[in-house]
Amino acid sequence: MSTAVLPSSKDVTEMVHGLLGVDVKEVPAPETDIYSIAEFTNNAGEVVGYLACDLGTGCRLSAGLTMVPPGAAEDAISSGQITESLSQNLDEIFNICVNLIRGDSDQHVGLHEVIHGSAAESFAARKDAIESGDAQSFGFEIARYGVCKLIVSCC
Amino acid sequence: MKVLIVDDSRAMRMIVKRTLGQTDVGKCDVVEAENGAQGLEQVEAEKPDFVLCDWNMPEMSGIEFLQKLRESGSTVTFGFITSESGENVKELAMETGAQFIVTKPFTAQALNAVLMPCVA
Repeated sequence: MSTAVLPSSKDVTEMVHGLLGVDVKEVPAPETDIYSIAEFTNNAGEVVGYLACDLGTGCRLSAGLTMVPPGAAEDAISSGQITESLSQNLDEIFNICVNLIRGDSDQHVGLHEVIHGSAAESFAARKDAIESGDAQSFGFEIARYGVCKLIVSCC
Repeated sequence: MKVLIVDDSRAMRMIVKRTLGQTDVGKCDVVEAENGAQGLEQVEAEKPDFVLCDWNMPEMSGIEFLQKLRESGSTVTFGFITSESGENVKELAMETGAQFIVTKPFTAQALNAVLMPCVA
């Protein structure tokens, strides 16, 4: 069974700061809908946790990772879906953020799959798993890019 | 100084390249590869001074790449930049012949601290 533990707000803001290299401050988590879900599994193939975010967070984080101007992120948000290049960046962000799921456990945890958009197969099931698990929302503001929310859920 | 960056993520190769430019290593010629198999070809063709490599990649992982490099007799300076953070991963990397391992996300200071002793 999973031994994953939820990270602290400081863990999350430090992770995002480390990824983007810009100022990140903790703010109240906004009310938003989940758009992207990353599922993490251990060596036995058991799901140990999820990271999830809304469309705005996915676009802003992804743009910030490769210093794409904030306007491009806002354009993607207005279009209602993440672009291919931004989604590749978001996959990498989720891959690195495995350490938010792993906690202090020695078990190997890896990114299994990322899905974007409520139309994606198994989106609803995974959203239910997140909401029914040990989940916490973390709000943070990325300098120049704006307010974001990351949900961390441990099974 | 020539450096080979091996990572299946284009974004991460860009970030490593950018961060490398913020270290004290100085101006570098950067060549890139998307996996270990391409990395082997690039080491042969480009003769880099050091390799910065991801751990998990399709086709050939970073540790397989390092094993094949050392089996071929290559002594190129080799460091991992990876989201893997377990002690067993670090031990395997060092036993196989890596000089250092840096956990993502990483800072220019962290990269500088492990690189400078290797390239000085």
